[in-house]
Amino acid sequence: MRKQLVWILVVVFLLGIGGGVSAQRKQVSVLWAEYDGLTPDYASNLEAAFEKEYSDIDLNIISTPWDKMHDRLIAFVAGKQPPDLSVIGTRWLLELIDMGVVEPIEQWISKDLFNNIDPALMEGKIKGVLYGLPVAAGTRLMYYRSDIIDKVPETFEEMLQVAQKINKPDEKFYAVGMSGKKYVELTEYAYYLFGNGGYFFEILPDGSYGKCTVNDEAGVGALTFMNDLVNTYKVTQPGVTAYRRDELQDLFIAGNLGIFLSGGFTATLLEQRGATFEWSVAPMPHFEGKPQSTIIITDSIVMFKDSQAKEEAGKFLDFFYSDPWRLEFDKLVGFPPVTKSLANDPAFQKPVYQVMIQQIPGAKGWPLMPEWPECNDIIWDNIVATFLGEKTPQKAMDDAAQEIDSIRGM
Amino acid sequence: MTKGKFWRTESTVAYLFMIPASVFLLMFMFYPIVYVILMSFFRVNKLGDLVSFFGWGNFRFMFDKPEFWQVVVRSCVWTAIAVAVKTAFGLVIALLLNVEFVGKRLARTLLIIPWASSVPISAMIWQWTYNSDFGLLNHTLRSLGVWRNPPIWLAEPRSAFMANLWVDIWCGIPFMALVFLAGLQAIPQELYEAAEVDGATPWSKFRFVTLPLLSGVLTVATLLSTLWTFNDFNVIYVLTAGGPGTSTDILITYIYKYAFQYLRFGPAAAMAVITFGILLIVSIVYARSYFREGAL
Amino acid sequence: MKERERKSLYFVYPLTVFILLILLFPFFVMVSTALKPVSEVYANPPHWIPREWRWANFSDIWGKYPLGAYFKNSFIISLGTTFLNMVLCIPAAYAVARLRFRAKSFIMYLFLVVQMFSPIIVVISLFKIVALLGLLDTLLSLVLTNSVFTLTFAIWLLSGYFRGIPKEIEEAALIDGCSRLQSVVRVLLPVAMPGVVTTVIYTFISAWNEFMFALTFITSMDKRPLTLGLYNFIGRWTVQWQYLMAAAILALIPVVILFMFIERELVQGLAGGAVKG
Repeated sequence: MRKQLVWILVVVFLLGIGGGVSAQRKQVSVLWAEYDGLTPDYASNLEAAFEKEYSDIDLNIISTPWDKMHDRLIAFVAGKQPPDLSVIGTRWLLELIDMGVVEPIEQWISKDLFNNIDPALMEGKIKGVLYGLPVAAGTRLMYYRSDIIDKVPETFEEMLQVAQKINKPDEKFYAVGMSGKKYVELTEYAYYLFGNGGYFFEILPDGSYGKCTVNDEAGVGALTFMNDLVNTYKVTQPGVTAYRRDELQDLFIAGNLGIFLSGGFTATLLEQRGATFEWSVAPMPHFEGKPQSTIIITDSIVMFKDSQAKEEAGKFLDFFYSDPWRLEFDKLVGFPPVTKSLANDPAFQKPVYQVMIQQIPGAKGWPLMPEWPECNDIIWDNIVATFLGEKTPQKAMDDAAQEIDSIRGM
Repeated sequence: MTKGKFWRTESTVAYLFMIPASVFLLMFMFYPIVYVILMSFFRVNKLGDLVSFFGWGNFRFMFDKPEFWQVVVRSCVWTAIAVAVKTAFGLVIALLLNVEFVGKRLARTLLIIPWASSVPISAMIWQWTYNSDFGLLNHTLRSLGVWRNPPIWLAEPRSAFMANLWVDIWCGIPFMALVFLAGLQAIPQELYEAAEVDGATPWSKFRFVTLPLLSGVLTVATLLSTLWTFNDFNVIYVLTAGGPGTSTDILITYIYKYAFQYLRFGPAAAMAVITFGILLIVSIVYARSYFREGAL
Repeated sequence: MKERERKSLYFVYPLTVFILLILLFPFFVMVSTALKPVSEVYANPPHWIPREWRWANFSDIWGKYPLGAYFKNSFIISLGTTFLNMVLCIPAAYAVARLRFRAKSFIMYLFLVVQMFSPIIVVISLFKIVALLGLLDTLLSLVLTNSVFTLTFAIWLLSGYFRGIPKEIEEAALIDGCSRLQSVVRVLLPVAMPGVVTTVIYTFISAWNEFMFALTFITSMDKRPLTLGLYNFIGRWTVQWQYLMAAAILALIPVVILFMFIERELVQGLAGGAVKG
């Protein structure tokens, strides 16, 4: 028995030694998200090319399924072993700032890179300090069946009229797709809320967030409309609470939906899977008398305070944001470019990119606050309660706003 | 007398034999468990560091939430039903596969397939199977005429709970069956033959020979299964993530949500300690009978 | 008597087939989906038998992803875990089943406590320990942590089987001049084979299927085990179902083959062992 233990200890020891020896070059670790469409080759090629140019730096790209990014990042950070850089959903940034683990990034990157990034996409700038560079950014838009719908609805009211005409549940063709399954993001509600001139919180004069406003006229109006689509007019697919966005997307690509609100990635998938019908894109609808608006979702790359190789990490950012690598990245992932130098590249002149870019001025992002994940869940649960007929829209949003305010100590 | 010599150093030998396993477990689990218990009584920051003593504050924070009590009750119901069904199913299958018949080996091999794929992947496969548009479950039920109008499984609280429950059961059946089968193999054939000579019916053979001799294995398997089922996170997380609303959340998915999504490590740790308390009580009640029966 | 046994088969067969059909339902779904081209995966209504058999799904995933390396890593982890687990649990189970000592039930409860904390709860602390040992991004870290979580059940189960075996067999061997170690290895273990095999299968499969620790401790692409590798097909915006299913089937094969080899031992243990002889 003792022999085995000794054996194990020897192995442990040797591995410890092994870890020590290889640490001669400066190490830079990057927690890297596996976007759909991004092949594993991309990361390994990037790593090899970078190390070829900077032979004194050992780059370690930690490739992670997107679904598991947050879990892994939390384990690394709470385990006191943060990477040097990490791709994040920008909405996580505030919790990282709250933890005090992220480093202002501007001083570590070159001026050229900083100037090359579209300022409208710098969501990672908090109170004037830039913490994250945008990795991917996109506004959400409307996909519709151009072979069935001849007049593109500009408002949600028009969308409802069109929907009632084209809805054919007997033939498994549903006019509007609606997702209601528990999911990390609240995008579906954001489309209707923003299109009704509303927002999740009141914005105070100093730019901070005040009370939760989902129970105001815009918020309740948006939910009432969604609920009517589902339960009164029944123009959505049945069982909305069983659908996540990706499941809804499958339904649209299979030709069972007339209108589907989503992001740029759907266009890529429609082409990849060879959809057999005609489709087109249009700006996100809004309610009558309200300005057009939609949600913009960005992912960022941040640097950690504890990094021992900030300068080297900055070099990696400069390298990654150079045109050839960014162009390939944007093309594979299917987002419009975040760098100005690629804005006029022929690859991004398709309608889907045009609509996404055109919507940017009126678009709003997620609230950037550390409590957002919890608020997100509270609103979502109450929306689902409305769909299931357990609460009226007014009651649901009142409950949500009250609970959120009490959590935030308002 | 010779016997005395063999067993004299008994307890020394015993401790020597227990040491490797115990040290190994202590090395890895002592700190994590103590830390969870500490966290539950402290204010904890978003990095999981202890900040200041909080007494029962984290517990009170959870107790004040009405959903919390629903979640606790649901966890218990979830575990009770799942373990009971797994045990019953497993026992039936073990008894069937203990009978000599042609094709038995094939049946045994096929039986382990549900167990041989990892739980998150199994849950993904079930998610696809439950899908009301492209999934084959509802399609098959409809076309066989078994169920003309099957529900959209994951859409409503009740059916979603059932759907989750079934996947957990499905993942656990092969394990149960196999453990019971090994237990059945260990029962000497002579006992059945003796019972038959006495004119025992199949039922009384099962009741008076099989069950008593299987009870040790039965206790261990159901006890451990209770612990695992109570803490089964992957099935629910993949299938419904606790939805619709919070209608399929159990304690472990709640803990995950509080720890990894809200970064409220304090309340999460408090719930982990509550889970520990519940499971400890169950184990003590359970294992008592095990220790009493056995020659421990 | 033979007559009655034959009669009982009339209901054993249909019942077995029925149960297997239910249990294997998702497996049929897997096979069906894995062989469909994308257009058929999303056919509505779905059909069981692919109109076009697309075997290329398998070669696609084998070519695009380092599945070979994933398999190798999973094997190393599972075999390592099984080995370490058996080394630790056999003596402990023997002590519990055969020897009298005061702290026995206390220690057994202590082992049980380990199972009351889900991996999710302790993963961050374990991460710290693994980092402290300098074992991050090594397969050994998974061997160790998987063993931690399989050891309890292995000891409880195995000691149960050991206890069911009459003590007299070993005592006879001891009197014949065997050392204690010999009596365990040559006499007890062969007789307890069904239990040992069950424990081995349990450990192997648990390690083969572990996900959470692999996600947290393994950072390089080429050290990933299969479970993590399968997540390549689960994207942020879509799931590549046909590939996921194909890869999941490939992942099943080694476990099923292993089981086929080892399954015989489940039966032969007692029948061929020393009890009857």
